[in-house]
Amino acid sequence: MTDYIESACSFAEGAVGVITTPTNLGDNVDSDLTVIFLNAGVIHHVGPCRLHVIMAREIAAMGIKSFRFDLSGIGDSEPPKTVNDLVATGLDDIKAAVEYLASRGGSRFVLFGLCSGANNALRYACQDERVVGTFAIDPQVFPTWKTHAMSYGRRMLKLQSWVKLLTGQSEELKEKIRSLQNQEEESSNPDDDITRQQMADWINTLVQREVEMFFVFTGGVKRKYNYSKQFKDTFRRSTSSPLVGDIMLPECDHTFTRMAYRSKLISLLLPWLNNHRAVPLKETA
Amino acid sequence: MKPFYFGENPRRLYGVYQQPDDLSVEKGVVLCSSWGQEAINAHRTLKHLSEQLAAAQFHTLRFDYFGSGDSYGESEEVRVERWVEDTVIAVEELMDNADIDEITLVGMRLGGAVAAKAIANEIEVDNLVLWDPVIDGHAYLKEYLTLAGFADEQHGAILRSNLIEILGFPLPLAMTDEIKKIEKNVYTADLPDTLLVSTAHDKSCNESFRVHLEQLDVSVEVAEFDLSPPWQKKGEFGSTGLPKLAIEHIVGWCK
Repeated sequence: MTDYIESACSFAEGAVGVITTPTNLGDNVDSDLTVIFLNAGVIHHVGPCRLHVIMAREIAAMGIKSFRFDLSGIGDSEPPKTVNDLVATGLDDIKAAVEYLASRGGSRFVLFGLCSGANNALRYACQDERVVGTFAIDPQVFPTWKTHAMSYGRRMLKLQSWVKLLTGQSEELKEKIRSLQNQEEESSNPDDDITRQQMADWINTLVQREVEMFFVFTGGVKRKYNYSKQFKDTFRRSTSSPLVGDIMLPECDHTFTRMAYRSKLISLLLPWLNNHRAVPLKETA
Repeated sequence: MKPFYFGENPRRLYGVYQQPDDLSVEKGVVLCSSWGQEAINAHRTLKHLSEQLAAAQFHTLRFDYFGSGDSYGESEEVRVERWVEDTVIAVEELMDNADIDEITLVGMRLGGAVAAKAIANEIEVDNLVLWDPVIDGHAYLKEYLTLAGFADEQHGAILRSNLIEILGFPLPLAMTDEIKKIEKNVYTADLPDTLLVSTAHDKSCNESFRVHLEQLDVSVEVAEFDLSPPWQKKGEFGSTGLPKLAIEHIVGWCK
């Protein structure tokens, strides 16, 4: 038998999700805390390589309920009824999910998100006091002078880099030229508009509300995030709080493709999540 | 659209039922997806196909096999033979709940072989759509391994003694063996009228497969499209364009 029951639901006129409810844990079940998994890009609610499903079941084994669902127009959910901007629609969808879960007895929520899901988690958490924690993987990152220095420094030591630069074969140079040429074209990714100040404001708002945050940075964003203290350097004031934790996992790719990477992530999430339980999980002999 | 779980605990399966406007129609379609990254990539296409089939007045059920998607079971527990059983359960579920007397199976890639085995083993199906079906298990595995950057099973993909890992999904050696056994002969004379849909870049085996089916007296229509295969990944997050022409053709054929 499993440690969980999974049930599918449809809510808010066409949104689809799956609730994973723990069983067989008696007093160890925290009935009013729910972890909500947000879409990673356009991958449907099971997550990259089934990441959300695997995590939901691990979380259930420690007595915590979870919910994975699709934003409008992604995965099993219907497209949005009205054409709105992507950010506002995403926030409305997350609110609908929280309201749905609240109507079923949930009162505290942890938002888990990867990439666009991480940005959505932080954005939404700022507007809903029922969110008590966010676990954000590869949200929008902001290189510091040290990021550039390390990136260029390493390459300057390589003869091959100089050859490529001088012969016009440098991919980075080509990309820079392309981006300059396309400067007037608008980005279709709303997350590209997130500014450093905006991210700092989100973190500050959440710290003031005593929301715990954990940030994970993978090797998938190594071009923009390449040393372990970059997050603290970027948001020095905001991240001095003990409520804010971060880790760099340079060995893992952006979507945790390998099983070993997923295990690593789970080993970070579970103890962090245990702090959010009303009563910490009892140790078993 | 109704998402739900069906089947017996602990082998419950996740499915999404798409109903037609006219509930009195007695025709249904069950969609069988592929495995691993292909199934993730093709999710949007199969959702769209099921919506279009429902709009064309078919009761439609797409579902996740045991150990895949939202269904119960760990990813390490996947087996072709279990998926054949799951397909039978899915067909029965749709027939029981929607009062259907005519059923079509649509199988994409590995799902094509699963559908064919389900028909050969246990269920009566009126029509079959095979979308780039696996007809050579060895070649399929090799293609997957190459895509994952591995020269072959022995180089790099090995994770533990009993499974390999390809593009983020564990593949138990028991299932590897099952896949290797897939060949043309899996597609037997039991097959009903069949539509072979081809969006794969390499269409060289379609003709020999058609001949194989015709030699078995299976009525077969081949529809080839120069489209991006929906089960192939494009970009980091697996976004693929919808193969609308192929979907329209399938819906038209099913009618």
